[in-house]
Amino acid sequence: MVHTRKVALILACFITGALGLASCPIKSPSTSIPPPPPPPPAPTVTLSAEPSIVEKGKSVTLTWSSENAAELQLQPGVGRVEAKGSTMVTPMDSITYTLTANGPGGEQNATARITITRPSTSRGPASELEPPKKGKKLAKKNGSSPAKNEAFPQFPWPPPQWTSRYPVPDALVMRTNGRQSTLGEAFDRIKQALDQARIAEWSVYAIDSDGFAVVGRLERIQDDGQPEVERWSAGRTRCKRFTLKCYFEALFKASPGRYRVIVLAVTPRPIVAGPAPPTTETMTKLLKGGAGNLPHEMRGQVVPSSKCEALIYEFYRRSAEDTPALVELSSLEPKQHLVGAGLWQKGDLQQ
Amino acid sequence: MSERVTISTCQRRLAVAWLMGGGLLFLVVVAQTMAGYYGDRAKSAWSWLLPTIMPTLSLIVGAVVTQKPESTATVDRLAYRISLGLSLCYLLLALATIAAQPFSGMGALDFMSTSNLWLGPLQGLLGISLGVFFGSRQS
Repeated sequence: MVHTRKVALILACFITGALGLASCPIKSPSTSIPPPPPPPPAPTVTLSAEPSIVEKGKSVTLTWSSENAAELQLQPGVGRVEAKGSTMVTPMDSITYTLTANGPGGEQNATARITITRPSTSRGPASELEPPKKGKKLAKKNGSSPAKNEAFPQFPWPPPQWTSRYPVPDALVMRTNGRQSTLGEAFDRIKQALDQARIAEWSVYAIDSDGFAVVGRLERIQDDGQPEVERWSAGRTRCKRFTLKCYFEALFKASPGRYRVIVLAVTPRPIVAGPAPPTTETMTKLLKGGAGNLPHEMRGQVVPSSKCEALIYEFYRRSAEDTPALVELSSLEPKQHLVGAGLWQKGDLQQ
Repeated sequence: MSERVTISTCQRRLAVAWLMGGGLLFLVVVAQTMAGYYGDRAKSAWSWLLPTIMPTLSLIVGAVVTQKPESTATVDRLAYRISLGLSLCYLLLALATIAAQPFSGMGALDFMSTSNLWLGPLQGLLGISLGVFFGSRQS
C-alpha cells in the first residue's frame, strides 16, 4: 500500500515536472536561426524656402528636416547642418539650394529654388502680377507693359518628368541669319510655329534669367500623332449624328484617349527630368499659370550656349472614366509628335 | 371595404418586374465592365448598381420563394398597384440612368452618382409601399 503511494507520488512528481519543463521556453542552439537584421531605413529629407520669390537684397529662410540621416549637407555655401533647422540666406541671384542626406540607408536629396527679382520702386496692381490665362490675347497686354515683369513666372525646375524629348535643330529656333538668335527672336520663331500648328493657347515661363519655356495646350491625338478631329476635347468622343450604331458604341465602348502637351524650352542649362510624373491637371495648371509674352528685358539677350529642346508629355487613358496617366515609353517618336502637331515639317527636323 | 387580390399572383408579378428590370441592368453593366467602359473604376459602377437593385430584388424574390403555392392569402389591391407602379418607375429610372450615359455631359460614373438624388427618395417610397403591401396580407 505504502509502496503504491510512493509510486503514485513519484509518477505525479514526474508528470508535473515534465509538464513544467514542457511549458518552459527551451532555446535550442541547433534549431534557432537568428533573424536577418532589418535593412537600415532610407533617409528622408525636406527643404523649403520662404518666400521662394524675393527682391534682390532681401533674405529668405531655408527650413529643413530629416530622418535617418547620418550627415546632412546644405549647398551651395552653407555646409554641414543638423537634422532639423533653419537658416537665413540672402542670395544675389536666383539659386537652387540642395540638401543632401547620407545615411546607412542610402542618399536622398531635396531642393528649394529661390527666384530673385529686381527691386521695384513702384509695384503695379496685383492683377498685373497674376499669370495671364491665354497666350495670344495676353501677349499684347504684356507687350505693352514690359517693365512690369519682376515676378515673371518661373518654369518648375527640374521640369516634370516627360515622355520623350527632342533637340530642335538650331536652324529652326536658335539661329537667325547665320548668328545665334536673341531670346526674343527664338521666342518669336516658336510663336510662329505654334501659330502654324494652330495651337492658339499657350503660355511662357522664364527658366532662370537666361531662358524660357513655352507650354502648349493639352490636345487629343490619334495613334499616329496627328490631332484628333475633336482636338481640344478631353471627354468622350460624341456622335455627330445620332445612329443606333453610334449610340451603342458610346454606351459600350471604352473610349480610350491619347493626349499630349508639348513644352519648348530654350535654355543653356542641361535639362534633367524631375522625379514625379505630371498629371494632365499639372500640365493644365502650367498652361494657366504662365505669362503671355517674354519679358522685355529678356528679349534682347543672346545666350550663346542656349538650345531649344522639345519636351513631350504624352498621356493615355484606357477609358473616359480613367484619369490619363503619363506614358513613359511612347510608341511615337518625338519627331512624329512635333510633325503631327504641325509645329514643323518632317524635312525641317532632319538634323 | 377595399378590394383584395391573392398575394401569390401579386408577388409573382412584382418578382417578374424586378427580375427583368434588375436583370437587364445587370447585363448592361456586365457588358460595359467587360468592354472596359469604366476603365479602372468598374468597382464604382458596381457600387452604384448593387445597392440600387439588390435590396428590393432580394426582398421580393425571398417572399416569392417562401410563399406556399396553395396559399389563399390576400392583400390590398391598391397597395399592390402602388407597389408595382413605383417598382416600374424605379426600374425605368435606373435603366434610363445607364441608357442616358452617352448623352450626359458629365462622366458616366458622375452621372450614376448624381442619379442617387432621384433614385434614393424613390427607393424610400417604394420601401414604404412594399411595407404596406406585405402588411395588408390577410389569410
